[in-house]
Amino acid sequence: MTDHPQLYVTLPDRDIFLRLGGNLTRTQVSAAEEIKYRTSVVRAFELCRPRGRWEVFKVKAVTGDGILLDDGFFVRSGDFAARCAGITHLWCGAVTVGVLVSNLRDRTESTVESAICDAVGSESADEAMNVMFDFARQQLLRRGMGLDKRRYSPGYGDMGLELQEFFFDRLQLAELDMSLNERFFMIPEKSVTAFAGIR
Amino acid sequence: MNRSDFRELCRRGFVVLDGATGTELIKRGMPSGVSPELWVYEHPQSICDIHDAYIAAGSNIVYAPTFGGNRLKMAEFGIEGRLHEIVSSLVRTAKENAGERALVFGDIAPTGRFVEPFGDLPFEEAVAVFREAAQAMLDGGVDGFAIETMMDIQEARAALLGVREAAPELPVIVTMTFESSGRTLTGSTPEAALVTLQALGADAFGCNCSTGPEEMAKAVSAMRKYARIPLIAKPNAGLPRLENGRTLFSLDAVDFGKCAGVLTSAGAQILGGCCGTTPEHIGELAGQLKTLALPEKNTPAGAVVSSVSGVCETGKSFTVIGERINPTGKKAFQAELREGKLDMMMDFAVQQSSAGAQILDVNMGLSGIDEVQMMRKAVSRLVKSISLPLCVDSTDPDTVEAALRIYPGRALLNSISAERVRLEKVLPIAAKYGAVIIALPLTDAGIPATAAERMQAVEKIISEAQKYGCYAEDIIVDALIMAVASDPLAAKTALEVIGVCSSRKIKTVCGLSNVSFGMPDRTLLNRTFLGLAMGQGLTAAIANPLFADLMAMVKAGDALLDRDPKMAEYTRFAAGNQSGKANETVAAVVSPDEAVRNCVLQGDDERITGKIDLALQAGFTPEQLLNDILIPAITTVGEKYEKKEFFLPQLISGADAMSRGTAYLEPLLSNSAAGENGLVKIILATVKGDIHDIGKNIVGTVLKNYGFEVIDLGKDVPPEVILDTAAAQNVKIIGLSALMTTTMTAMRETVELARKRGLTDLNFIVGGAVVDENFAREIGAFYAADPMGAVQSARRICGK
Repeated sequence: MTDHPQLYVTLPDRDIFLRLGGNLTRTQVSAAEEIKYRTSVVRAFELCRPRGRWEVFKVKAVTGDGILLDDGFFVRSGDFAARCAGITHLWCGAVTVGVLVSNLRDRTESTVESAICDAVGSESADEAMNVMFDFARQQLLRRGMGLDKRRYSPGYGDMGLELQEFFFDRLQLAELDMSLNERFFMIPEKSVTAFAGIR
Repeated sequence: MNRSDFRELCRRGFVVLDGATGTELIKRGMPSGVSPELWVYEHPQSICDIHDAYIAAGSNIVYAPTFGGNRLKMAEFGIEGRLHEIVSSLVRTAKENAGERALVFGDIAPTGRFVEPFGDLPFEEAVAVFREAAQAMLDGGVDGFAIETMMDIQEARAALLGVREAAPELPVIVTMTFESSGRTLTGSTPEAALVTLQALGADAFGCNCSTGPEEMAKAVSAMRKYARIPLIAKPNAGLPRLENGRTLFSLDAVDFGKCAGVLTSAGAQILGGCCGTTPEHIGELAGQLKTLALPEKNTPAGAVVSSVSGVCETGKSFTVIGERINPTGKKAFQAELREGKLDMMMDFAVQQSSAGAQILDVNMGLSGIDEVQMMRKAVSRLVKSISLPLCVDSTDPDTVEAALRIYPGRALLNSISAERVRLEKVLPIAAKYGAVIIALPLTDAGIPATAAERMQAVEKIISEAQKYGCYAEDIIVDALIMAVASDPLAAKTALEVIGVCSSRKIKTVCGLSNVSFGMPDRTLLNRTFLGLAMGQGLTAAIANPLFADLMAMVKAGDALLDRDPKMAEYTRFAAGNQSGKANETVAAVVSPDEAVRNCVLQGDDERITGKIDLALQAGFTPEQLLNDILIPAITTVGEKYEKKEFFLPQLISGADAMSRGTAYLEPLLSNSAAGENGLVKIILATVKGDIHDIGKNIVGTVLKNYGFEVIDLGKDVPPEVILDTAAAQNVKIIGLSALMTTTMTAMRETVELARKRGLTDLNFIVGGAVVDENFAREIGAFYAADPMGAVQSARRICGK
């Protein structure tokens, strides 16, 4: 398992702006609004504590409705399996930016601040996953393994949220102060898990 | 070989590196999952064969098989205790085999950890890890070092410092990997990485891995403008593809060789191959290089500073160095620093970068605090969120070294005077870390009175700096402006210094506000002096960019002095400024009702009640203000949001201002008016199983300001609770939110339960990240893509 106790994430400015409905050419923000907005973004970003870990599992078979790992675990998702023909291994990773940014979002009385915190937390978690994923690609390439470019996460398509348990157990996410609630939501909320094929 | 020999080698012609080692080792039987270093140590003939093939193909330099030969990587195989034995032996084997045929460089690659301040690996530990590895290679007899495949500028810096500290005289070449985005994994552009590592003492810099030659040529070309050292290109053999379960690369040896031209045209002078390349690829490359001429030498720009993600070429346009992060005269900031906090510093940083500063000056000089620790903390915190380069401002050598060592870019140093102690103590530190220096013409005898004497002090600083290997072009002279209140000739003398420096193409800077100290209307004096100084050729100013007039003058000055190509920046600025002026003018004569309207449009919830008071005093009725001003204003906000002229924070701010305004007016409204605008109730809930409620909350805020009474049931709400509440409160519109595909099914459940209960007059609006119009139609609901969509659906339902 590769552990990243602190992931190197640069402020995903553009993605945050777009997530908040901004348009790069059309949206007009005055200097005063810009300063207020940027201050909120940076304050929220400073509360993000990106970290994560990933592991590679050997694949025994890819079937029509999922992927069978060498250790007998079955990753059930026909949608994902359809993209995984020919893979030899399965990459799985999890990142979180921690609870602080969500706490500020929930605590603040300003809806604007709350919306900005939410966007910063979400985009920073995505960016953390991007960084870890690209890092893993580089590392795996050196081992002669090609990591697919597309990731797949529980909760999308036909991949059930219950697969979060797999991440939680195999990546020992409790060590990252993460937990799962009874409906398989990852806590802290601003966390991302993903699978990807390796060839 | 020493660094000078290496420079000579590069001057003579192209230098050919080797190609891939890992895949060649696999071909020779190295199994997967083992430590390559240990395997080669046990099978030394393998690397001899590979090197023989590369040397025969034309490689002038081959890399010792020490890629993962550092303590952290070797620990993954439990062999970190044998680092020196294995690594020095690998180098020795390679050296003995290569003999005089080729140089052997120690290969240094990432540890696999992210380095402080961005990662968890302490910076000094990272330096120590690389220093230890370099020492083992040195003991094995290596000719130089190749730091390669770096993805993180801070780790590359740590490696370079570690190697330099172990082997100051040996050449070190550095290559990083740039993604298809044109940046490293951690966001550095090729230019920023080059400027940073070149200043830190790399003997050559470039790219390896990640991409094929064509893409890599773009990165090399971007570096060229700032390169004083040879540029390296060590691309993969094109793009990887999968064939029968094997990873193959798109370029065969001949096609790879043909790419030599595009790489050398871009400026590459040291070339080799990375993943997928073989001795045949290197042979073709070397053959092609024999037919090509070395890239023409360019004159790189001087005094270029960098951050993690970008560069600032001082003086390309007038450079404003934000002065606000300085505790002098700021009591609240001083108090914060004494508590060890830096929140106000971050606010200063954001404000200044938003206002157009290109570099941020950072001064932590305050009695009663540990300046070294605070500076380190400040730099570490700033670089994580602010993309501007920093100017380290301190007179204390320890503080300067602490800041320059940790700073993951090339900093500006404010400042070094001609005083003996400063030259002896601070100059070597500035040179070691490659900072751009602000030279202060101050001597042990004090401040020279005349421009000529100041220039003598400048000469002394430049000549001393050159002894340490600094370039004169990397020194910016502080014109040393004193207060005209105490010396009427102060401004004139400083202008003379600027003029002399300008005629000698020396860049200049000044602490702008000094000139007006003790005088009335300081901004007028500052501005006027800035105009005069720009006319004399001033390059940069340490100033407060929040003064709009000053920034306007800078833009105009650049346009007039031909520092703004096609006057594009000025034109853009002036367009914004004109509208700003128009608003200002209107604001001066704006009618009271218009002022209320503007508060909603500008999201100004602090001043709206005051503006309403003024409007009421002017004779507007509360009903007029609500119906004719506030409601049309929030409608305009919504329209602008829909056209994407506003983004969400502006929509919400407008709604907040509207909300405050209507709440203020409410007690004043006549019953009839309130009745006419009687509120339609709407229930909002995040559905059962889902705990994400930010979207729902925003929709609630906006709906309230479009005349709806919102009953917010919160998140994870069961269908029964929603329908029971609707029945109890006689609500006919229900808005449901869900973020996940797995929870949007609860929307269907809620709608179906309503049907089962015969509640046919209920209307549902659904929205959320994964919800779309098709799904809404399928379950018989209205769809809201965003807050304004919810407003429109609700209006349609109630016929508003």
